[in-house]
Amino acid sequence: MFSPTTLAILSVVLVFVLILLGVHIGVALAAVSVLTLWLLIGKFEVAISLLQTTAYSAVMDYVFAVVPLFVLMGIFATVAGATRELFASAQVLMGRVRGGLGIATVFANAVFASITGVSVASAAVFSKIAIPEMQRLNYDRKFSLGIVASSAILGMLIPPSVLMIVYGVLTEQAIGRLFIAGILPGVVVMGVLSIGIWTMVLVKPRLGGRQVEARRLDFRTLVRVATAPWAVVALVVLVMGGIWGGFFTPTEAGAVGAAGGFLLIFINRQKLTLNGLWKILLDAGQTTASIFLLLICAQMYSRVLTMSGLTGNLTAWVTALAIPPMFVILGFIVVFVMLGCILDSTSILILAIPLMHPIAVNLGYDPLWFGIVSILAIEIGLLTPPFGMVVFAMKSAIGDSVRVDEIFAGSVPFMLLLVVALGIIIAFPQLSTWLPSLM
Amino acid sequence: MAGLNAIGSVWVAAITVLICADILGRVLFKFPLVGVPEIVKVSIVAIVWLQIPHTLKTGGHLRSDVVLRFLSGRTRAALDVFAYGLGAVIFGLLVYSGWDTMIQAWQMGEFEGELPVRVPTYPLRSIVLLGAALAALQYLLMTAEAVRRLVSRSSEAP
Repeated sequence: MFSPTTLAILSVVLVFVLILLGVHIGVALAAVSVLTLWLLIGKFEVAISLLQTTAYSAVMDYVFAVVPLFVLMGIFATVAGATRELFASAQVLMGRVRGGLGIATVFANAVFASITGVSVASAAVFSKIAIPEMQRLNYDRKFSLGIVASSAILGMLIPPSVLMIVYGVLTEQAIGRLFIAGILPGVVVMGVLSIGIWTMVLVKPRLGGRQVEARRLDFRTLVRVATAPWAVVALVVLVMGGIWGGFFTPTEAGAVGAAGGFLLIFINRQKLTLNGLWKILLDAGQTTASIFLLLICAQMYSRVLTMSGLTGNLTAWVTALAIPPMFVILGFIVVFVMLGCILDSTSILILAIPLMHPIAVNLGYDPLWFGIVSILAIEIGLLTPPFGMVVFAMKSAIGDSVRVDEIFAGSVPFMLLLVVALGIIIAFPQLSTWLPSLM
Repeated sequence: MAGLNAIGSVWVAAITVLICADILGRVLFKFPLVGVPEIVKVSIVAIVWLQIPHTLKTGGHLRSDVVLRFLSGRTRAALDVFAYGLGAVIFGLLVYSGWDTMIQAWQMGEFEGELPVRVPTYPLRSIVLLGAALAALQYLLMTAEAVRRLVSRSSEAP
């Protein structure tokens, strides 16, 4: 009836149609995989056995334990009040700098990003602690919303990151190396955002509110507040240093992180009731399960695409095109940003990477670099309307006093900054490949 | 279903402790625990399938509402019937296709891993199918609810 490649292309289209009709993304992937396989080989029994073999074997690997463990670490650290401490500390350190509160938000976000693996968590937490503080100092409203939205991106870029785990699984890259690859690009994004905030306030002082009214603290209080998050920082260094130095596998690092996060609650003398612990565990279970269902179904889909020969044909076709390889990468970035209008980041990665990754590698690009570039591009796409997950997380955290379009509007200048950062990371692949090469 | 999710989550906590014990054993006493990676590996499958049904029930699985958002209640209900129905079919097929393998695993005593750490697969295969069956059931309930919405809306409209 159709050639296998045509069939595979139709199946990709069908996945999109089903998703737009509101079918759960995992279900859409599984249903289309089974249907495509059935049409390819003509045997229904064999096609549906794809479901049970993948359900059983797709996530049966030691490395997958990183997902629940790092999710648990993030939730524990949040309950322990790590974000508030980090923000307060960054605030006293940056207090005198132009746009200091904004830069403090970026820095606190960067450190919190090394505990949490999801941008949405950062966005929600910092909307609650950073925005009121910026409003107190009379920061321009949209400006402060943009700062929180854009710096939340660091959550996915700085390890641990759920997107890196998903990318690693889809492309068979070592997750530890991907984690380490994200560190310097994360620092670049942090630097570009900070310099951007400083410059914007320099040009338009009105944005940064009343600088003079920033609190003046005596030296001892300053030191006390600045060093309050020592335990969080120590935990981050232990976890990431352990992976980098080869003391821990990523899974072990996750377990150490989760246990450390749990201890953090007691170090910070936060109350933890059994009921609270129960809620944390259920919450972690939710996040984990929704990622895993996607991972399982994504593997069905990518197996079927490979079997149909689409992956191979597409790679051969694109590689043979007489255009500079960088144009292909830029084309991918455009696709990522466009997909960001209809899908969330994990789903974009799952749908696009099985097709794009072989092409990028075939064109001679480093898989770690391509992973970092993809993740940053996808996250930038998520600040664009109408499906900016980060933006909606902020909206639900702040409540009725803010409109979604205000957050989108506030994010525009920061999106340009992020594009600059993306340009730097694309132009200097060493940023992504140097640290992992030392492992 | 919340109960199953909780079992899964407690299981995660247990793995955390186990891995930490393994590391401490290795670092302090030069005595790593045997088989921790194998145990972790099979545990993950069980944990995931224990957690999937409850996550479905509480609306934790991802779907795109770009189009749905703009639809009237009735069209939306119709699409929900389709989306949830498809979910029920897929998870139902999963249970159907895995049934024989599970029975065989019970009868033949299939194992995963090498000695000395061999884990029997029948509990694992059973948990996968239990999770899938509950997810299918949850999808059926959601389908029924969507059908009810569809019907009540159509009877209201002339």
